[in-house]
Amino acid sequence: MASASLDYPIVWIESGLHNTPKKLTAALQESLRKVHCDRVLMAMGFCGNTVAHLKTGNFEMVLPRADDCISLLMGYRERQCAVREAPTYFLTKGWMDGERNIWTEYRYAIEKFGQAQGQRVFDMMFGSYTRLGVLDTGAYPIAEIMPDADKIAGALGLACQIIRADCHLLRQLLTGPWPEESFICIPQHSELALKDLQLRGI
Amino acid sequence: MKQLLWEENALVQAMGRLEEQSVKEVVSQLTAAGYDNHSIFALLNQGVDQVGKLFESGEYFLADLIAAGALYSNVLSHYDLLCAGKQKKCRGRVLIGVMAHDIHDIGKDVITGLLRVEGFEVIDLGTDVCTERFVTAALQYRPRIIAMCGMLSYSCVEMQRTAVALEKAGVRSFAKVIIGGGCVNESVCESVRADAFFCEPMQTLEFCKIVTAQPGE
Repeated sequence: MASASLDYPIVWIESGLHNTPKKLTAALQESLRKVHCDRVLMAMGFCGNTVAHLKTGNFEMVLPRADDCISLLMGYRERQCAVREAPTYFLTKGWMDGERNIWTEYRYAIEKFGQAQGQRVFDMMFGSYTRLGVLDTGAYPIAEIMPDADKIAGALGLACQIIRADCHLLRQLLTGPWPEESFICIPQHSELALKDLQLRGI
Repeated sequence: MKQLLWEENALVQAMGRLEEQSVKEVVSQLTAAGYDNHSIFALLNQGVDQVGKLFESGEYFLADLIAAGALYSNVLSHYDLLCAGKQKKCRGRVLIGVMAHDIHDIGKDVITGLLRVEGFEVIDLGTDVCTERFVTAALQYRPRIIAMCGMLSYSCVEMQRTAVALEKAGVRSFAKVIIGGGCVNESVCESVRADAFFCEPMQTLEFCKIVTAQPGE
């Protein structure tokens, strides 16, 4: 927002709610119920369709056509290209800083199940991936997080690679315009139907 | 709610605590005592529910969910061994796979194990299965049921695409199409025009039993 000289009020939603989709939907609806503005820009993806059935009030709602926050940051097509190149587990600084990040998960599993069984659990979680993709969004100095990313990749047996994420969708969400190709605009006093959650350009 | 016997409760608690050895021991005891597979799976599912609640409360981590899925599959194999030698009726053929670009297979593996224990022949296409592979395999194996699984949002798109292709290929004249996984709900089921959707393994199993109990093509 700073780069676009914007100063919109932000309502943060706890990221841990992604683990409990029904609670995430409820939290989103409750936050929407409390807003007093003309337009809400939803800086999130479809997130397992948790945004389906959200209702607008006296405001319009704009949602980017992104299945999740990875596509929001790097673009859906770019993400698909990256995944086709190598099955990739993506990381950002924010996800590494979170209380429940992949490293705390790993340490927990090793401590709880022991090295061999904990490693097996993680092999199941990451067996289909070959690469840890660290998203370089420009929002943080990428070099600072690479030592930790290398450590995680080493433990999980993945190649570690920096992947450029230009955040064009996120930028456009903030600045507009919102063409139908890339955004879903829900009018006032309407409901975001599941059928509205269509990705384009697949 | 029905009062659980000590062993029944022990199985639920052991599953909830992810204690593989204890789970297998109690399953062996209950099997020897004449419990049928439906009763044992119902208890295991109560334990899985506990895991889910502990995850939602923040006490359990993602690793625990993965471990629970693996434990469930291991216990199914253990139970299958306990029942080896018993005549198992072949109920019918099920084709199963996770949608293209999606590699979340724990739910699929649990369903596959459950169906096999119950006497279904399961053709498991694995993960990241494209529409063409679903159609080709459906025409080759002519299953009674095709189960499409997905965790990610875009799996719903793949489900729609695959269901249309299955219809065009004439597969739906002999096979029911069902969907399951984290991305499905009633609306998705409607948009995919699937015959049913499931978020619970036992419901999936019951549906497959009902379908295969009816005469096929």
